[in-house]
Amino acid sequence: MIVCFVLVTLVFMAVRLVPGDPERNAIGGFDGTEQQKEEALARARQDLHLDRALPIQYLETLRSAVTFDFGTSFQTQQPVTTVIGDRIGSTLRLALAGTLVIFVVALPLGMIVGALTNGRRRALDVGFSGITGFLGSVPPYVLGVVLVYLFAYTFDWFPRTPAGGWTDEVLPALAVGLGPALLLARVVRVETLGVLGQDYMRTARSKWLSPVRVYLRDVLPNVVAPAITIGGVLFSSLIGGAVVVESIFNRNGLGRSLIEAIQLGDYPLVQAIALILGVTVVVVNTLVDIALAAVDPRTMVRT
Amino acid sequence: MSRAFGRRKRWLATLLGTPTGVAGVVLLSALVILAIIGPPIWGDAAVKSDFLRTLRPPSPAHPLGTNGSGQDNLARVLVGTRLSLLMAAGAVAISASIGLLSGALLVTVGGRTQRIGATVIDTWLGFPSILLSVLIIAVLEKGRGAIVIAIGLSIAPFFARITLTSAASVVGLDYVAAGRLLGLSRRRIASRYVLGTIVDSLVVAVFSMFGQSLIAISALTYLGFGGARSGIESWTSIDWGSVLNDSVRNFRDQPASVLGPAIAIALAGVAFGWFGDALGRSLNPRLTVRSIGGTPRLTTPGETA
Repeated sequence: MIVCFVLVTLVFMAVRLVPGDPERNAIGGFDGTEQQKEEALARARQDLHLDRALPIQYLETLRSAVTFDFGTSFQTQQPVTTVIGDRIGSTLRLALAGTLVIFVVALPLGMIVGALTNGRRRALDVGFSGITGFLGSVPPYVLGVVLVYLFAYTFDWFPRTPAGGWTDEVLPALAVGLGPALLLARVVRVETLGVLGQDYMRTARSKWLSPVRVYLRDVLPNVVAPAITIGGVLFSSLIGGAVVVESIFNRNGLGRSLIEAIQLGDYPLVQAIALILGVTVVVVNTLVDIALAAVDPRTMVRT
Repeated sequence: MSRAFGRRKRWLATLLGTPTGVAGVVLLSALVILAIIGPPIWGDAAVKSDFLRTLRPPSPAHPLGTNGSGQDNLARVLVGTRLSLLMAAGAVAISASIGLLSGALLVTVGGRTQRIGATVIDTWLGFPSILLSVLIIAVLEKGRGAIVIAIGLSIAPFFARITLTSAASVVGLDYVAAGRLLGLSRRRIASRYVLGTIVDSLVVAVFSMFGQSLIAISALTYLGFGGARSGIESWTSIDWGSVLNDSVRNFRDQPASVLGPAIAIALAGVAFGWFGDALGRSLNPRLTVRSIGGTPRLTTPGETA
């Protein structure tokens, strides 16, 4: 809550700090008759609440943030909420698919490698840390470019331009999700090794419980908690990755709109998207804390 | 004399003791050499346009093909090394000085202010740095200077956090109290006792952040925040992000050209991380023992193991 308030304040100050008249910047590329221009200027001034005294401007900005009324986009002359409504779906799909990649790759991979390397298979162990360490630090946009080169151009498995349908989602999701997934897999492996060393695992084995049952019932719940802990950090990097990756894959999402809006000086849109993405990150971080408390009650003491 | 020599030998041995350490040292030296000799050698080739040979596929003369203006893609990547490294160095210098100063200030003040400051830093850290930096660029004028400042500001909390955490853990120790009792000046305690012990983790952070900011800066120049390309181009305005932008725009016609800048950015980012880790191990061997299964933590002489 406080963080959201701080965010609004920062974005408010940012728009005021822009060199030159924000409203003149804003309609710089607007063509039309003098009168239309004057009207657009007046509307811009009103949208940014520039026709009032500073404290009032601030209160108005706060009010519009609470009521989700962000004014009119300078570029398209549509309400900002409409523009965002058109584009948020693409970003949401990317974020969800990316999160899916993170957990679907990281949990099984980390657990399997952990189970296989439990004191054995040194080569696999070294290979695993080497590969995950390398690929995990390749930035999403570079990974995206290489994935497109490999799977859309060299092998022709995926469409080169958005074709509609689920195939559009695969490469972007891998681009934003694979790096965090591999880093998480390393954590999961270490946690799995830790769990496998516990006494209750020896008990479970001595009772001849089936390995599958042991891994699902005893190991999985114990590695989920640390996975969720860094899940918040990973989500934040996923949103950051999406901002750049969307423009690589020509997706009409919020991140790409933000970049375009900044380059065109479309401040109502910048303000709105920055708030939405920022608040999402903050909310997810809070949810992570709550989920963590639900999965692992011990963490409650800390918070 | 011989003891000092032996110590240095051991230091080098730890630095080169792991495969990633060796790779980091080799790659990093290659990058620095390339940044120095690259522009004089390939500078002309990188900007020489040949409008009869635009968007050519890879060939012996142009191993990565040519771009939309008929310039050699490989030469542009090689020449871009210098600007990419310089911009990253600028960003790290800004963020390290801001982070170090604010972290040190918070430790000195202590108490409630320190707790509030720590919360601010953590919130700042949790926010996607790319989002923060594009917002800062929105405020500043577009251009490479703005990018460096924006990245510098958005990774500054990282240095502040490290300073705060490691300095706070040192300040409470007995030997600092002993120094104070001996009547040493605050400045001497701060520089010899506290800074001297946390400098290892700061050096490691500088290198890993160098890689991070290189990646982030390339992302921003890729997105076109580096300023428009003017008519007559000189090699001083080429960096990996702008080369990548160029290649991605021509993806359909000449896909192979994206590999040059993509590999350069990825390798450089990884190399700095590897080098930083190896350096950390050799500066403070105890760091490795403690870092298993968690974040690296600095142990200090006064701490019981």
